[in-house]
Amino acid sequence: MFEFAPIHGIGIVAGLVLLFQSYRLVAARKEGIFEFLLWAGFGVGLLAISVGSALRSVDLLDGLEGSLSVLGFGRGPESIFFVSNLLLLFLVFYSYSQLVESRRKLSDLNQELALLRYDLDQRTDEDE
Amino acid sequence: MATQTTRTAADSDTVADERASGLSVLAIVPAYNEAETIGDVVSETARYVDKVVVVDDASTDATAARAREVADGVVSHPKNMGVGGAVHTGYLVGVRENFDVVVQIDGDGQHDPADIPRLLERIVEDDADMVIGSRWLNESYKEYSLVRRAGIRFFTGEVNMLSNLNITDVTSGFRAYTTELLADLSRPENSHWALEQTLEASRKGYRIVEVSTPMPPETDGSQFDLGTFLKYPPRMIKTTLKVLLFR
Repeated sequence: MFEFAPIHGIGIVAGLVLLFQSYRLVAARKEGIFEFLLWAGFGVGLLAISVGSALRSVDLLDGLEGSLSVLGFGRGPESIFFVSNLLLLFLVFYSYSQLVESRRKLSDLNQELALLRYDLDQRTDEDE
Repeated sequence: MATQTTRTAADSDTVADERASGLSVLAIVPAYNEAETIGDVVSETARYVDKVVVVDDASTDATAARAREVADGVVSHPKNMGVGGAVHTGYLVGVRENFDVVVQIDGDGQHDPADIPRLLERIVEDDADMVIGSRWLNESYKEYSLVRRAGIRFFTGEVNMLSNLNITDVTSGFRAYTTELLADLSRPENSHWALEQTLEASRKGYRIVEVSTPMPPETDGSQFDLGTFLKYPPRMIKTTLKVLLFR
């Protein structure tokens, strides 16, 4: 029933790590819904692929090919290549937007720190 | 009205003589590694305004220390932000301390503080919100390199085309603003801050005028090297689109 190879184990562990990452977001009450969906979605997907491909009774590629053909995709490998590219583009875009946001926050912080120190200096001068 | 006036009583008479605008005026001096010139710039500028604040953009030389000796206040960025960030920090000081007008002048000595009263005059007499010191209304632009002149011409032409302005020197960093205008402006990008700021102010309906201010080129060389020149087109497109779409 099972045809277990090391790659299946790696996939399962990676999937669990991603799920744990999404759990940590919830536990820490960080309201990053987008990040939560990203980690949880990839985690569940990776687990499903790893466990599914280890089960001999389930032909995962055949199932994937069947469902993608409904959308008009051709052979399985081409479909997977296309979807992977889409996901990568999405990840690059997401990383870029996070970087821009981080830089903006860093600039705000830089400015506020400088102004707070300036205010403190001004008050100290007035007191003296 | 300004909340603070930091001149001594003896200095106040001089300030009153030199400054006839009746406005409370803050001068901000964005500076990065200008230890050699910052002292003279601040001392001279102080004759024409109520308060001088140097915005030290994380200089690696003695700019901040030198500025503390002569200026009324020094804002030191922990991390270098670029000119756009430095001037915006200065604007925040002006807005928070309720000055009427903020004058912006470079710390490298390129701008002559003696021109400040003429900038302020235009705010009072023409009811202007922004006054730009232009090197194109006198002969000083001829001292600039051909590439630099072409760049300034191009950006100025772009701003004039995209707004209802007819100015000659959009890249000038010698400016005076009402704080009402500054409070309404977004934080500019570090590159092309002048273009972005002028375009945004114009699109928001503020009155922008120019005065002639002689402005020799910087002594430490032009910023227009090949690398900067190549980066200009994408940066310019980004800045322009940002203003046109979101401001």
